[in-house]
Amino acid sequence: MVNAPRIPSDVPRPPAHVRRNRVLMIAGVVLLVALFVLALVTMNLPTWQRFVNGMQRNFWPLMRGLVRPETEVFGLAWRSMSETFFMAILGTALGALLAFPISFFAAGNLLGGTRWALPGKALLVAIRTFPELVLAIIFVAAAGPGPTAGIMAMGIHSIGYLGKVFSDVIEGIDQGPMEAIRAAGGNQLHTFLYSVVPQVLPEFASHVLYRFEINLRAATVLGMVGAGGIGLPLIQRLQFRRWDEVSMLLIVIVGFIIVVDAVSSRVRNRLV
Amino acid sequence: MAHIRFNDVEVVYRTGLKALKGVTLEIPRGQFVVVVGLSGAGKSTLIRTVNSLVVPTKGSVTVNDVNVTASRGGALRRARSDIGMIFQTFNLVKRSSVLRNVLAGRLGDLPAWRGVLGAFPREDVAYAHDCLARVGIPEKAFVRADALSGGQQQRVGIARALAQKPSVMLADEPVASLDPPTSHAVMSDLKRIAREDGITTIVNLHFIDMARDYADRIIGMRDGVVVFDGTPDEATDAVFEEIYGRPLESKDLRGA
Repeated sequence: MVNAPRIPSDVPRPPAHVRRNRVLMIAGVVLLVALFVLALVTMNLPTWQRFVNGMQRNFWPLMRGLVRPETEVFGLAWRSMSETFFMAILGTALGALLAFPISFFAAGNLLGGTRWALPGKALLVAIRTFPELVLAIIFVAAAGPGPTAGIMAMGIHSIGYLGKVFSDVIEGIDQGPMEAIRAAGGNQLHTFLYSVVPQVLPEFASHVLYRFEINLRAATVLGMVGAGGIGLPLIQRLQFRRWDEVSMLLIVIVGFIIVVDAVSSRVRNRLV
Repeated sequence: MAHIRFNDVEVVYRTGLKALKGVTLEIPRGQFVVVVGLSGAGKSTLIRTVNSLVVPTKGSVTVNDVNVTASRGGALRRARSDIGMIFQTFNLVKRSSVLRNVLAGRLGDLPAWRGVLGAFPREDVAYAHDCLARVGIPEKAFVRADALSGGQQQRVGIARALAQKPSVMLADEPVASLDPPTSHAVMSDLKRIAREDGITTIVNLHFIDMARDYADRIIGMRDGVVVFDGTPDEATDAVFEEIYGRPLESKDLRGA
């Protein structure tokens, strides 16, 4: 009698919020499946026959060109990729320098409450909303074609991203050292310099490097709208289907990015 | 003359929690006071009213006849620079060097711009090294703080407080994160330095044996009220059971 098995009606009913979450999750999955099906039927995808025809006409010339890179454009590729590289450096630096002060006004723990950080956070969201390419087109129109437009576009877009991750880093710091500096008679600026900055700086540097890797890849595309760098020579040759020259440009782009990523991620690993 | 005076200090937190319910105490210069009580009894709140990290909702605390509770801005920073504090979790900047952590203790005594630029006068840097030597780790000055053991980190905490050249030292559960032998070593250092420099010291502890070993005077707190105030000899097991409101357990002792 002591060890009587529990009868099923003994199992407690899950509380209301658990049941509600379960319903919400099922609803979410159904919604996602519905969206997928809707996308399939509205997209008017090409027929299999068209796909095969296209491949027969274009695939072999494409492959023939790609396996025979035209070495004559190597100099051009190297020069424009270098320009892209320096654009990424300046764009990232611009973004980091401007994101640094803004991020402190988007960190709730420094302002004494999450609500005081809302204007800063809203500004960063607003900046992030603009796609980089749109910014680049606007700056090409405003400042004329060339690397300046690309640097501005990258810089502005990076503020949104870096400001966000910087403020997340700040919100994750240990508050104990701040209390210690205050207890020792330090003022607000001392507290900031002696307990906030040393805690966040290595992670800031790591995020800046990571953003630089992203910007380098983005900068290759920005050139396509005239914002400087290797994008312009690339799109010209793509439009005229000069696959052998495209191949040379791609080799330089990919090689450059692989080397930069490898170096940068090594440095990042040592930072944090 | 009392060095530290609590005048009917009351603290009510914004949550409505009454942490201190009218505490009146006088602590003479040079005394080594241990405050005991269960967590939540108001020990941490009590010592934080001394340097106004927690501001009393009623009453006041005076140090050297200066009303710290009423002080603001520069006056409060000057008062704080005379009051060293060490913490249960050390509160060091782990990525900074030990020396830089200790130098932070000098901030309150220097012109603000020197602290901002990190331009510490030679004698202040020398003094920071001296403080490290006094807690027995002179060779760790240029090591990152997170490379040290817990006991060493707490010694850096003591050195930082010492660098303030304080007349008062507050210690909030300074050994709660340390193992028993290290706890005793750190408490001995704290007591020795307090004796040598004549520093008035308030330490929060919850270990009965350590309180008896190191205190000149034991203050027992329960529910925000002082329920015992006497010498270690007077603080019998029965007294501690009264303070804790329950029979004593083995976890109330740190051991050797």
